[in-house]
Formats: sequence, C-alpha cells, structure tokens
Amino acid sequence: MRVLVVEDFEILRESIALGLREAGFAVDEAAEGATGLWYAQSNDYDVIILDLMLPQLDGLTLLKRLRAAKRTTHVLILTARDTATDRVAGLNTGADDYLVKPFVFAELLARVRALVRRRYNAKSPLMQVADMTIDTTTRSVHRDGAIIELSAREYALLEFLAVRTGEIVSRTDIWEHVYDFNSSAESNVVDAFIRLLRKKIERPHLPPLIHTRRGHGYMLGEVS
Amino acid sequence: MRSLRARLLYRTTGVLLLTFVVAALALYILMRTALLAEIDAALLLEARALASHVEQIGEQVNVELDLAIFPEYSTAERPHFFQIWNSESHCVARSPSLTGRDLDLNSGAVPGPTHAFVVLPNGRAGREVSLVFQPQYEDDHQEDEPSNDSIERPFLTLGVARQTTELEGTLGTLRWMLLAVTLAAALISIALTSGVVQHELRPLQTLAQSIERVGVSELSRRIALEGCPDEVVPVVHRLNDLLGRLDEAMAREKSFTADAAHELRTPLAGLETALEVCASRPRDPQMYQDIIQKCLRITQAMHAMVNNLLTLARADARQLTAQSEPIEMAAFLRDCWLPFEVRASQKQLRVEWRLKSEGTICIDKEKMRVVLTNLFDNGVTYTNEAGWIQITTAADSTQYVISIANSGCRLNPADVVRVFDRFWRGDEARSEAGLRCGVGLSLCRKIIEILGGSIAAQIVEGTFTVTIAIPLAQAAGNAG
Repeated sequence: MRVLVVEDFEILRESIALGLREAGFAVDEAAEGATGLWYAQSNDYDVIILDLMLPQLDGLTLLKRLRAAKRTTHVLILTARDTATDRVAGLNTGADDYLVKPFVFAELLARVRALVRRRYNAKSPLMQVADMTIDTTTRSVHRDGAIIELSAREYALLEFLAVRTGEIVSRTDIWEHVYDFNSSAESNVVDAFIRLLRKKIERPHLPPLIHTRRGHGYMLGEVS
Repeated sequence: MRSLRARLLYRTTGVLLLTFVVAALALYILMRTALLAEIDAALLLEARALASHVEQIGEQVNVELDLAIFPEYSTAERPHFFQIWNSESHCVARSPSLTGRDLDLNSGAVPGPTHAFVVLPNGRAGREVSLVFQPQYEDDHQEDEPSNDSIERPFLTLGVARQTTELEGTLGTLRWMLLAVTLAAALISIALTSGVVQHELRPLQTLAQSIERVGVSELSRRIALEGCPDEVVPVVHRLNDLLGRLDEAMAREKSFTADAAHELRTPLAGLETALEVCASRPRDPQMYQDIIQKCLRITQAMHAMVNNLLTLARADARQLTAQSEPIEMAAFLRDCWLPFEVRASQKQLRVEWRLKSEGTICIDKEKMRVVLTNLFDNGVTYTNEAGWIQITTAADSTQYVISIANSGCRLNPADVVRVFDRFWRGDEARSEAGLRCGVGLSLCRKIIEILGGSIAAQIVEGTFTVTIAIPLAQAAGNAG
C-alpha cells in the first residue's frame, strides 16, 4: 500500500515515513503543499497524510483542489489545531480522518490501515484467500498450518493482490501501490517478486493461488 | 458600618428623630408661651381691675373691694392673692388669702407690668404680675382733673398672683403626649424607612445578582440597564465597559494560548514520533546518534520558543518592567553574538561589524539581550549559505541606532508589514517549521516598546534589515 506524507516539519515527516515503511507501506514524502498536490494527482495513493499548515499551499486548499479534480484518495489530516471548528472544517472539505498533534505513532498507523481497509471495502484486518490467512495487523501469513515468512516487499505485494482477490491486477497497479519514488527498481522487478512469492506460498498438494493473465497482469485466488 | 442599607436606615431615622424632637420641643415651647400669656393676660386684667378699686384718701390707701364679689381672694381652695405696697415698699393692703404673709415684691419703679414665677405663701408654685400704678385720689367724689394734678399722687405697687398648678398639669400632660407621639413616630419611621430603603436598594441587589451570573465563560454578556436607578446607570456603564475590556483580554489570552499550544504541538509531535519510531526496533548506532541530534535540536528550539512565549505573555500582562543600567553597546553586541558564532561559521557567513560609535547607553540589559538574541538567531537562520550579516551602530544627538541586516532574504517586500505579527512566518521559515514559532520579531517589538524605543524592518532586494532606535533621552553618558 502506498502512502503520501505531506508535512513541512522535517523530522516529523521523516519519522512518519520511516515508521510507515517499516510497517510495510510504500511512502512518498512532500514538504510543501504544491509538491504534495502534484504527487497526489499523479499517483494513485491509498492514503494521504496531510498537514494543514504548509508553505505555499495550505493543506485545506490542497484537499479542495484534490477533491475538485475528482480524486477520491483517502485523506488523513494531521494538524496541531484541535478545536471542533478546525476538525469540522477539515472533514467538511473532504478529509476522511483527523489526528491532532502530538499523536502516538501506533494510532496513526492503525488509522492509516483502517483507511486502507475502507478503500478496499474490507472490514476485518484478517483476510482469507482460499485456505490462506493474511493478518494485516501483524503482517503474518498462514497457509497449510504453517507461518509463511515473507520479506517486507513480498508481504506488501501479497497484501495488495489479496485486497483485490479475484481481480486482475496490472503490473502498473502493483508498481504504483507497492513501490515508492525511493525504490530503485527495474521494470521487471514485479515479475521477479511474483516468482519469489509463488515459491513461498504455493504448495504442490494444494491448488495454486497466484495466476498469471498474460498481457493483463496477475490474479490472486482459487480458480475453479 | 459597611452596609449601605444599615447606614441609610440609621441616618434617615436619626434625622427623622432629630426633626421630631425639635418639632416637639418647638411645639412645647409655643404651647407653654401661649398658656403663660393667657395666664399673664388674666392676671394683668385682674390687676388692672383691682387697681381701679384702690383709692387714696389722704394718706390712707383704701381698697374698695367687696370680697363677696371677688371670693377668689378669700377662698381657701386655690385662692388668688394680691398685695399692695407703697413707694417705700411697705405693705398697705393684702388679700385675706395671704393670711398676713407677704407676696414677693418684684418690681420697684419699673413702669408697666412685670411677670414672674414665684413661690406662693402656701408653698405652691405661682405666677405673679406686678403693676405700678397711681390710685384714684378721692378727696370728694367729684372729678376734678386739674386739682388732681396739683396734689401729689403716690405710686403704689400691686402684686397679683395665683397658683399655676393647672398650667403645670397641662404642660406635664403635653410633655408626656409629645414624648409618646415622638417615640411612636420614631418607631413608625424606623419601620417605614427600613421598608423603603430595602425596596429602593433592590436594584443594587438585582445588579449584584446579574454580576454574579457573569461567569468567566460568559464575559460577552452585558448587564441590563432596565430598571436601574439613574444613580446606578453610570456604575452599570462602567461595569459593562470593564466587562468589554475583560472579554477582549480573555479572547486575546485564549487565542494566544491556542496559538502557543499549536506552535508547541508540532515540535512535540516531531519529538514523540521520532522517538517512538526509533524505539520500535533495534537501530544501528549511527541512526541513534542522528535521532538524538535531531531531538536535541528540537528541544533546544522548544526551549527558545517557550522562553519567547513566556516573555511575550508577561509583556502582554504588563509584568515586564525595565531596569536600566549603563551598557557599553559595542561590547554588549559582540557578547550577544557569541552563541551564534559556530552556526555562522558552519554556514560560512561573513559577519561585518560597523560599530562606529563607542557609546554607553542606559537600558535594560537582559531585555536587550533577548531582543538581540532573537535578531541574531533570525539572521543566522535566514541568511543564505555563504551570505553576510551586517551589524551597524550609529548615534546622533537624539537617538542610538542599531541595525542588523542580512542577505538572502526571500520574503516579498510586501511582507514587511507582517513580519512583526504574532505567529506569522514567511514561507522561508517553513523549512524550519516546528522549530520556530513566529513570535521572535513581535516579541522584539514589544520589548523595544517597553524600553521606550522603536523598531522597524525593511526588505530591499533580498536584504532584510531590522533597525532599533533608542532615544538618547533614556541614554546616559556620551554616545558619540
């Protein structure tokens, strides 16, 4: 899942980004409103974490322009303003959630995950794909009675396929949601990761879960 | 006596009581005078009547008085008395009621009647009128006026007296009645005054209640003028003015607190998140060191912020007072610059000192240090890499001027009017977001105003200049 952090306070932005990356998210960072808006319009983020007091273009204006451009990306406002008026203004402008600084990072993470679930219409943090269970909170995967050890990138890829179980997911989609601007990945890296993932989750005696649709992309799920 | 009600009650009752007493006394005196005048008139009439009955026949004074007609001169019960003296004060006649005793001889040769209180021979109090008169001279029973004149007619003194028991009785009754009426009037007036005072003071109680209802959160509420007596209206106006000022002050305080909290939350959030994320798993030493350095920088910035906010709040609350002492300005400027030397050299800044005047001015040292520290901090922070900072001092006969200029200002010249605004930050300050709260310059202005000087900013072609002027009326010694 890919998150954009728009925050002008450097250490806060870097720490949020680090924490999110370590939690398995692909994270882009913007220090100003204008850059933030440009990123938000040119990529399909799952969640945007948006500070309100920003240089050049403030958070609320950014949000207005984003919504005016018909972007439905979930936005979590992060601000030091804590009055009801501020919260109402933020939510009325089209924000999906609100967190007042200072905050506990674990809460921010939980809210970001909740917004991700909402985007993919999932209510539970537990996802079931055929006989495979994915716990998005602990980021653990079980199949055939055993825990499957995955790298952060492999898990991110599996989770993205899992939230769209039964759908064909294009390489571009995967690229957009699993990799951030910092990733120095080759264009065929998606195929390479899919191969690694297959090795780890497929079992010879069980039906395959990852299917290749040549020319379209990949699909996770049991094909009857 | 603190209570207005009690005071009004006591004073009004006191005044009323005094009025009653004076009125009663006046009434008493009037009544007594009138009664006495009546008795005196009766006595005089009696004396005149008696005098007309006195005849001088040769040397003999004869009182032609038929005691049967005037029984009051012989009766034993409340008798009237008379006595006649000749000019040698020898008794020539007296009423039987005197039974040989004497009345007081009150007047010698005073013409006209004289009245006096006397003690009667029977020991009772009485009133006596004395009349000096010439008896009719009766040689024969013919009126012969000219012959009358030729004969020496002696002057006789007639004293007529009677008991005044009735008068005393009447006056006594009057005294008791007046006392009773006065007391009753006093009691009634106390009761009525108490009621009236209570009623008339009710607007004050209502006022007190409406003031009581104004809570800290309802300072926008105003006290209604309806039903206020004219005397209380100015008080209500002043109270409402006061409430207005309080309301404004509270609103300022609130917005200041909100802004201050907002400014402190961002660095706190940075600290908390950085530490939380860092502590979530083992890190390599280099990363720990990085995070610690960054967090240290935040806490230092917060320290400065808290100091500035506190000073500003104190200045707002007028708790800052200037304590002047002579300062050798050039040395003081260099001393204040010391903490910024490292950062300036890291940024490779060129620092130009143009201290032309070696002057001593008299000013509050610590407050001046706060101002200079803020200005130097801004200078070092916002000057471009390898840029310059220029510190200039000058003095003329009226003022001492300190200018601090720096290169690399990215502010719009139009922003110059806003740089002293509270919590305002130019976009360039955003790169330092969370580390600067935007009160530095407004604090400087506040302090310089308290110190009696003026401060101005100027943005010309990328050069930001702050100029402080301290009037030399405040300065001691030479500044040139």
